[in-house]
Amino acid sequence: MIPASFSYVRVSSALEAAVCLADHTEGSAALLAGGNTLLPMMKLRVIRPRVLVDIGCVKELSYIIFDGDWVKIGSLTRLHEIENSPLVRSRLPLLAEAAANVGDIQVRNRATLGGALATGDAASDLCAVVLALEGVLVAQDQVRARQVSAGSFFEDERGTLLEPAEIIREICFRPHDDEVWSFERFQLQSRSQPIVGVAIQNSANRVAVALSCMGTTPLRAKRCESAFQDGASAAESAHLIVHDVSPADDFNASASYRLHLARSMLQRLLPTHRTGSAKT
Amino acid sequence: MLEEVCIEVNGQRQTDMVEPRLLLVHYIREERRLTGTHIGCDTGHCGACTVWLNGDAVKSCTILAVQAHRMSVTTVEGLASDGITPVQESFQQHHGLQCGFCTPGILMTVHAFLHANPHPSREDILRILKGHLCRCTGYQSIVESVENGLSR
Repeated sequence: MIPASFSYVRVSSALEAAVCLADHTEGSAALLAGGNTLLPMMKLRVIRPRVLVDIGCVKELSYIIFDGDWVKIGSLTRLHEIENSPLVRSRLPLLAEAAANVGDIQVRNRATLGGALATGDAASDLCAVVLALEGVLVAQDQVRARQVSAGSFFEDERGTLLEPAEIIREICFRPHDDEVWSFERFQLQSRSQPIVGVAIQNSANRVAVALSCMGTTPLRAKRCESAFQDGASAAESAHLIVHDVSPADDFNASASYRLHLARSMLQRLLPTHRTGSAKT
Repeated sequence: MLEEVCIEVNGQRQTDMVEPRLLLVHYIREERRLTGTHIGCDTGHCGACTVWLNGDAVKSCTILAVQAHRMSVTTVEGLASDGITPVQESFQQHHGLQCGFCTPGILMTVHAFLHANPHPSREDILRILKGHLCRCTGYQSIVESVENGLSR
């Protein structure tokens, strides 16, 4: 219930945060944004960072804007803002829907988009949705900023491609105003994680299919996508995910159950993505 | 090393020196002696610790007191300036509580929601209860208490 002791630093800019991270050896400093992932782990003493860098007051990283080409969301924008933003609802409805379904109101009042992405959690619907939307993350350390596509960002073993001294600044998306999308998760009310999550986004003449809880990272079902785009039926395409996924056998579900569930959900959801008809 | 925090709780500002690891819920209960905010679990799921932080409903067990520096906290004791609110009265009259342990947290979330949405549907009410666990009532009487509190 009570975290191990740590030193505390409150910063007011992204650069200050990056400098703090660089000043400490890898793993000894942690960034505190919303705290919904970090603090519960610290309270259980699963992790014991020696320094906590509080970025909760970094106002420069909280924004939602559209510059004509890209929707840009600051990494510290709270999920309740994303959920309720008219801009996100009209231009990135899949993201608004996913944000609205994270946790509960109290969680969404604190949780941030950047924080969710930095976990690289395979069970995170937000990560799967950012994959389906082909988001581009901008990360910075104290020297420079770089862009990383969502597709490359979620890496095995190490978690994400974020360097120890980096902070995510913003996430950029091409808008998908009138394009077909689907978002569905199968979750027992009593459990805090979904068993399987499915996010599908049409764009131009392509379909992106992203899955949560179907591997060690959030992932795109690429073989399913290309088969479907080449004209294979929803059933045939859904069957092909076996080549793209490696679901876990765990406390919540068996691997074979997850595979069956994901196939069923895709079989049902994919047909609306063929015709490009309006999302129901 | 202790950190200085200045936090306004229910309109009263106070400055204290606290350990960085002091949870906001412990600060509220032990430093400010406001014990209406409850601790019902170890994992941030039960919602009994819900308070407002700058007007937003949050779980105070998953926030450090230092994060609330220069912010405004409202607890269940601060919901009504005088007496109790119509929704609180409705909870009394419609059996919205039995042991009452989860109730303050639920009241905080409900009142925050009603500020922006004064006419919630039953689906809205069920949805906002997602962050709250009750072992006594089975939730039906909680929903009815909220619904009946709206028409007052």
